[in-house]
Order: sequence, then structure tokens, then C-alpha cells
Amino acid sequence: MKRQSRRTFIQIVAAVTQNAYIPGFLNGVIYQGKIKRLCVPGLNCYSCPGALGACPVGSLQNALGRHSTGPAYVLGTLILFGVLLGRLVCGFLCPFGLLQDLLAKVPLPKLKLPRWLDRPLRYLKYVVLILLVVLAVLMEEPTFCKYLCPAGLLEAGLPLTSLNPQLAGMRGPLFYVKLGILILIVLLSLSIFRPFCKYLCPLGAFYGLFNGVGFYRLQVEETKCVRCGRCAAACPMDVDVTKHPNSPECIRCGKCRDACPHDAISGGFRCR
Amino acid sequence: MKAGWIKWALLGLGIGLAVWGWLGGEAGVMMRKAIYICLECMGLGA
Repeated sequence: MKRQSRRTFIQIVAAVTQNAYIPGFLNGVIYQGKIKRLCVPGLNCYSCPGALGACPVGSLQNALGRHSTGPAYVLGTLILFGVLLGRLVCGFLCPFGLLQDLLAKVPLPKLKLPRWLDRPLRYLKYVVLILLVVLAVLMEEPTFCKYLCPAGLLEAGLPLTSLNPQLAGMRGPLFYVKLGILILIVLLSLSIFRPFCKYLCPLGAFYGLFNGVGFYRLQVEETKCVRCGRCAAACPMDVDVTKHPNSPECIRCGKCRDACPHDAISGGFRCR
Repeated sequence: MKAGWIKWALLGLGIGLAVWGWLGGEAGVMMRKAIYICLECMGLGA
């Protein structure tokens, strides 16, 4: 199986596994068993009818300032995912990443934002990450989930309000604001590769911090590289792999490795 | 080479925090939150 087909297969298996509670989809309820104690690695709303685990972003906000150990468990789990996998999570395990990848396959003209706009926007996700923590402590509510998270509306809001009339009656202005955000991200994903991951996702921002120091690394062999630039041209996250193989923006999709005519780029887990 | 010891330190920190939080009952508290339908996540009730 080719690398990109294998990646899509793993993404689908990961998304299905994380949302495998079938009765939830049939009856408009959510899973309430003990597996919910475990955080999943990617952005996957714990109110999705099928969700077996807990979304780390929602859990982090709920745990902040509300327990004697603080958010130690969630933060520890996030650091573990970060140091072991980094943004490999984004490229392989995140269901919302999969959705954007599938939308990017729609044959429409693709846009690349000009550098003067793209570069500052990349820092927006770090602002969202900091605001998420600060506001969760100050307001004692999951502000990211409430006002921004498109995965919550897609995976929980839309299916549950469709299946559960009691919940459908609770739709208010905020529901439609979030629906607007979701539609905007879906439309942007048709022309821009993974706009949510590039510019807004706090989880991607957090995992990106570990790309440079984690166990999973990309390496460019200087003796094989002829500086043809094909890897940089193929990168959907606009990373120049020869200069920054472990950039915080790299989601480890492997398209650079596919594009390299000399097999100069390798990736894998390194203990040293 | 610089990252060599940092990754092991982070791995230890991650395991330590996760175990401390788990033993302290945080996972149970988190689960109690996660088993109720999160109205905020769905943009409901406002």
C-alpha cells in the first residue's frame, strides 16, 4: 500500500475506533462507561454519540483549577502524546484532520495564502492555546469548546440535536454562530489545506512544540539531497523540509518523502 | 544531541504527571464531566 493510502487508512481506523459506540448514534445518547477516563490524542468531542474517550482540550479546560492535582492527568497525557508522537497525531490520528484531508481532495483550485498573511496567522493557534488556558481558569467554563470548536458542533451538536428532540429545542444563537464557523472552515478546507490545523487548533500548537525534541523525527541526509526543492513544493503545510525537518508546522504526512527522488528524507522513532 | 536528554525528561514528566493525576482521582472527576452531554461543546443553552 502506498504511503498516502496507508495514512488515510490509519486515519479512518483511528476515527472509527475513537467513535465506535454505535448505540449512541442510534439512540441519540452518549457513552458513559469507564473508557471515558482516557484522553484520546486528537480533537474528538467527548459528547459525540460514538465517542469512547475524552477530548484532551475539553478535559484540560474542565480540569483547570477544579481539582487538587490541577490538570496533572490531562497535561501529563498531552505531554506523553507530544513527546512520543508530536504532530504525527495531527497527520494520522485526529478525526478533524481527516475531515479536512478529505475536503482537500475535492478537485477545486487550491490557494496558498501570501507569506505576509500566512506567517502571522500561523501564530494565531498559539494565541488560542494561551487564551484557552487563561479563560478556562478565569471563566470556569470550556470557552474554546463553547465559542470556537468546530469539532464539537460537527461531532456532537449536529448529530445529537438531530436525534434528540429535547436537545433540538435548546438551539439558540450560539448554535448558529458555531454552525457558521464550521461551514466557514469546511468551505476554506476545499481550497486551503487544513486551515483549522494551520491557524486555529490549540492541540496542534501544543504538539508542534514537541516536534523538535520528541522521539519521532524526520531526517534529511545531506549526502543524498540535491536541493531540487521538490519536497518543499510538495509539502501541504508549506514547510521547507531541508531547512526545518522538525518544524512545529510539520504534521508528518510524508508527502515530502514521496516527492524526494533520492530517498534523502527518512522518518522514524529515535531514542538518542 | 541536545534533544537527547530533553525527550527522556519530558517522557518522565508526562508519565509522572499522568500517574499523579490519575491516583489523585482527576481522571474520575474528568469522567464525571465527560459522561454528561456537554452543552457548551454543541453551542446549546445560549
